Amino acid sequence: MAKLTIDGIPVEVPDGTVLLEACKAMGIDVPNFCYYPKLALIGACRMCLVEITAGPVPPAVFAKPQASCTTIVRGDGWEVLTNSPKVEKLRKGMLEFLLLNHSLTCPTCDMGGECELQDNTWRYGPGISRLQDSKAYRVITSLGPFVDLNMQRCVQCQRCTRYCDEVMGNRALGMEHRGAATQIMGFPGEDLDCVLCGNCIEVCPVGALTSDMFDTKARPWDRIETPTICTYCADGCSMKLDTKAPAGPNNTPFANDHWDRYAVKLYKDRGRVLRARAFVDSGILIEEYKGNNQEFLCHKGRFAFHVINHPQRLTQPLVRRNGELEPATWPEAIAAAATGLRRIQETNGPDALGGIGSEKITNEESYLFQKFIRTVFGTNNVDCRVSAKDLRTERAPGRTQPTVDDLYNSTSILVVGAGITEENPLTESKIRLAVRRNRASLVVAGSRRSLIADETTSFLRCKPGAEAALVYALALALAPSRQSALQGAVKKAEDATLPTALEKATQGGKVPMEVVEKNAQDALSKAQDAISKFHLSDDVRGVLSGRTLEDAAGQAGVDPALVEAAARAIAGAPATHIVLGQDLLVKAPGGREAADFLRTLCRSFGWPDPAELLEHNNSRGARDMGVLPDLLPGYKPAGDASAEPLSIVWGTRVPGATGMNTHEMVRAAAEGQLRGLYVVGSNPLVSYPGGDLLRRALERLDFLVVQDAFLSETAIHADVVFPAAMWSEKDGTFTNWEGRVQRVRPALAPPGEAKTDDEILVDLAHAMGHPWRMQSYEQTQAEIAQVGGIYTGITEEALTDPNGAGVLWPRQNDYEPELVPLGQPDFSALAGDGAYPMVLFTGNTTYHHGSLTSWDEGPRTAEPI
Amino acid sequence: MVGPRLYHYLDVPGQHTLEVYERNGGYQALKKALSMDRATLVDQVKAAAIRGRGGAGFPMGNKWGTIPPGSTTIYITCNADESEPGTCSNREVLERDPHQLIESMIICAYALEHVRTCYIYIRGEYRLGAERLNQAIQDARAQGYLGDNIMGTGFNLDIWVFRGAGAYICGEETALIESIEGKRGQPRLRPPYFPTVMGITNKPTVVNNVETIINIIPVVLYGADGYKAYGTEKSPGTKLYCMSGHIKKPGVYEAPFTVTLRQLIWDFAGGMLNDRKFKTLIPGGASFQWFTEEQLDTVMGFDEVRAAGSNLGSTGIMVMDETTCVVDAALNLVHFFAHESCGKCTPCREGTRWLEQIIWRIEHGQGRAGEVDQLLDITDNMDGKCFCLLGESAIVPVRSSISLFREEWDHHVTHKNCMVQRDYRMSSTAQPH
Repeated sequence: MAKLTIDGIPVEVPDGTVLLEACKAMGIDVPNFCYYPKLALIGACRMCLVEITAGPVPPAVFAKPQASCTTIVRGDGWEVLTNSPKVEKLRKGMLEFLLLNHSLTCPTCDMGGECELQDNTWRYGPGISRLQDSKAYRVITSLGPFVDLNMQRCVQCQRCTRYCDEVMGNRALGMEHRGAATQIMGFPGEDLDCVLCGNCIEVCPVGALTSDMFDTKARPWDRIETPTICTYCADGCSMKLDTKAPAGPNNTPFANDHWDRYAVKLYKDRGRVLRARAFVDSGILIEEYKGNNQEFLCHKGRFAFHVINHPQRLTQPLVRRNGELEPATWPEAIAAAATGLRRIQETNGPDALGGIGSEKITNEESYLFQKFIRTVFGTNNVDCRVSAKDLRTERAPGRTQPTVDDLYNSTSILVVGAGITEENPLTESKIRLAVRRNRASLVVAGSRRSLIADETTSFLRCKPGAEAALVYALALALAPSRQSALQGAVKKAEDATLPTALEKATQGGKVPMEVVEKNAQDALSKAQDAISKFHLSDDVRGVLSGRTLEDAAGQAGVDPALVEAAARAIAGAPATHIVLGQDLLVKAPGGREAADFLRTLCRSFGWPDPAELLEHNNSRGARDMGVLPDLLPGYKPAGDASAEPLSIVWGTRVPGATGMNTHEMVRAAAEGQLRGLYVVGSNPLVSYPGGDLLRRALERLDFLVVQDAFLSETAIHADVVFPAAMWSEKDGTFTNWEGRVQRVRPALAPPGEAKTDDEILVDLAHAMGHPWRMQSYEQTQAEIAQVGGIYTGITEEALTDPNGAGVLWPRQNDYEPELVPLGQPDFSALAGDGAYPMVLFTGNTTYHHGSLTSWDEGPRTAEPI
Repeated sequence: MVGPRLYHYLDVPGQHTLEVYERNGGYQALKKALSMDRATLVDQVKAAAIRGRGGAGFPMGNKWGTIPPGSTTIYITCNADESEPGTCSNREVLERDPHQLIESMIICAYALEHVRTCYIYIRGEYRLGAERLNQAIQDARAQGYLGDNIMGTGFNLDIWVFRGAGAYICGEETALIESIEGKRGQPRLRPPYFPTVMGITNKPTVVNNVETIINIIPVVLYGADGYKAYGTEKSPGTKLYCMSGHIKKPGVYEAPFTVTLRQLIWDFAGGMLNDRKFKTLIPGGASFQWFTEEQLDTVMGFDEVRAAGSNLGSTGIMVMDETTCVVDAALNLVHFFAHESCGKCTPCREGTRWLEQIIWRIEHGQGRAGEVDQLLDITDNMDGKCFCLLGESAIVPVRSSISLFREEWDHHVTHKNCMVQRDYRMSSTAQPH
């Protein structure tokens, strides 16, 4: 701990604290621009200079004012002044310099009203400028369809260029020229060549980098910012959806005619989402540095909000009459759907019905959906997994699996089978930061080369689809490496207890001998403890026995020497955090078994369980809610024993037998056994692997009900189409891949007559003879906790706690899932059957995720489809 | 080599070739050094107290001492980015005696042991220097002075010439390192205070000026004691003084540190041009306090000049006679700094440009009342607040000339013209924009 006095107030902070942070922690405002917690320190803007009158370093160092953002506090005796006349004068001077060549276009600037330069000038700056000469010419240009650059507003804090490099790994922005002519730029004459995340806009403290997709459509004070969660990948970033504030009580916010016309112009955007932004404003960053994404959003999160405002959104129900889908009223549509479904239920039995859910709708809606299928339909034919090839039993997540924050703080990371830059951009950026800030060892294994592979020398690129084979190869290399690494650690610790080593460690008497001895002994016992805990379980031995690294690596198409080197890089770590991606989990043959095997291996090593990067924003939640044919809410296996308590709560008999999964339902429908299907919030005709079979199935179905926001490819085949609200119009929660339950809030009302999914489910249940009552998302939450034994204690207060980012479930000590017994994998099938020379490998791209972005102007501009 | 002098063979025709250099005793110091024990060599350098000629006067041996013990990779970088106005001593060495530098670098590298690679960061405009250096490196390598197993000792070394891209700030050692790494030439954050702790790719890096490094040859040849025959106890050896301005014989003069300014101007440089009256001079490039007649007897050693209120800097001595308008001179210098500001920190980027704008108007008869005081206030807002010394240097000509010749500035503002009868204007007439 370091002791210091700031403005006469004594305070104690940990050694190594940035002085600026120490001031902030005390509630003392130190204006700054270039400081940004995640980024390297540069001390460029000189705005945060303070006077240091005493300190443990020679006084000559402090003859000048010091930048508090680059002063690292170590040792005692610091005396800091942040409000002396000298500091006040220099702040005025610095702001005068910054405003000298600033264009002062505040009235038309996107950032007007929420600009750090405005705020700091208002607090500390001179009211007038003494400039009598011409302002410097600085360029105003477009950096492509997403980002605009106005150098006349730039304060040259280099946050954007550093963010682009250090967090995104892109280096699309740089500095050009020098002195007063210095400017931010992309490659000359070209649009930005990067992942187009737009985070440069977010971190810009002024209006130099602005969003071309927003561009002064609303002032901060006539905007409503709704904090919610992104609906694309499973990272679950917090975000704000900006909408226009509703008009005043009489709908006439401005009195005279002139202003009325302006008001009409101003309010024509009402009812639209104007932009999406990260939840944390750069302007209030340091006070509210929270959430798991902070200022971060990817391209999809930031620019794929136009889909909400899409003119082709469904606004009224459609019913098929005489072979054509025609608009209908809600009662007509509900009655038509109820009649059609009931007829099948009565004539063919409940198991002739099925439901395909969604990994995008909220937890509460997912819960109600599976409850609907299980009670109203009376069948377990329900599944949320549409795009996956491999639909084996899902495993409940344990709490030792790493979170995004664990990865950020990790020193050893293994990524397997993930197009992580494209599919989980937040997770990827945290891994990059771990590598760059903590010098974490990183191994990337998979068939897709993501940008993250540039951060490591250990990129193992296997043949497409051979991810599982690569996992076994890695395991074969890891087991001996881990053993020798642990032995090496013991040897080193033993050497450190030798008298000569102890003598050296005292640094010539600076450190007392007792302390040195104790440290050495502690280290030794720790190392011995680690090796005593290390033993491969029988399961793991069984799987690996008789296999050689050369075989496995050869099957994966990777050089065994590279695998060995990669294993050495991570084997010795006390905890290597493993993340498994979609390429391994659902695409590679044998991937699910390989994941189970890795989990068992990690337990043997004393490492945390591998985390599974799921595909969609609520993939985890939909599984937790039991939108699965074989699992009830809370991962309880479907069967009479666990269905019994549910039947009591739900007040109706819950089917015991395991239902059909998506593949089985499609096959059954194509063969005519499944007669009615209810599809909520997904578009299987686009995302299901096996389109022909599905098309045949849809044509053969007696009755298809689709509930979606668009008249999707699947909906065209429906008998009844319900217009559904999107995530921007709903109350509820999403659960990201970490198991972080986060609050989703409505930014606006659904368009036209569209309703939220839970409203539709309740109406339809009513019509089918089940008197459900409409309940709030909190009531549904309580029911989920009661029924599934999961999500307990997740209250509105906990979800909206400003210091946290949602609630993690399972929490620490909630439970540790049992390991599944490992069978002998079919090694021969791991690398595909070789029947075809090419492998089709599907996945999400940097700009498109699922089928929703294909409707959106933003991603479509970035990557036309 | 005759005595510890650096420029002795400079005028010998063909000295830049290996043949002539060897004929004049070249690479004898290297042979001697390679036969010496490394510890003895380092001790000799430390005892010789070679002071850094780049401006700070930090002894070379002490700099070596800040390398963390146990470092296994060390880089030596020669700072030949000689961009300080009025300074040209390095150029003479680079163009006319490049082997002297190469030999010195090999000796330094040998002394520090863990050096495998050296860089010479040469000012981009020194095209001839770069060509001669490259040729010299090629010849030295062919002769076995460079490359693997140097002269059979098993010591390996490579020297690379890195041409700058025309930025003054890259003479600042950390900006120089950034530039070598291929990054934008902007000074690095300190601490660590010395690149000898973290330099190129975060490895210990010794950055020395050309003139400093070549002092190692006399130290090796004559020993620390022999080297100390010239100069003072604290500043031994000779210095290359770059004389320019209103003098009869501008040029680089080698003299011991005991020489005075008066000697340099009247004995070496032949006195004032056209025998006009001396007005003022800058003793160390553009960045330091101006001297007037009163300080002409100052001894041109590091400590003596500092005691007199200025700094030896790069010893680019710029002499101005009575026909010089100080506003004009200040504008010329401030224009230089505004042009060379790297743009990283606010006060330097914005302040230098603003200073230049105001001074230009004052020089061109458009000054407003109170603007001289405003200039001083702007310099106060920059003073001590900039990231590196460039911004802090830019205010010196303004402050110095105003404090010494305030009446000239006021005359410019009030009478819209110059009180000095001058022959020509030294600053640009184009209005800064």
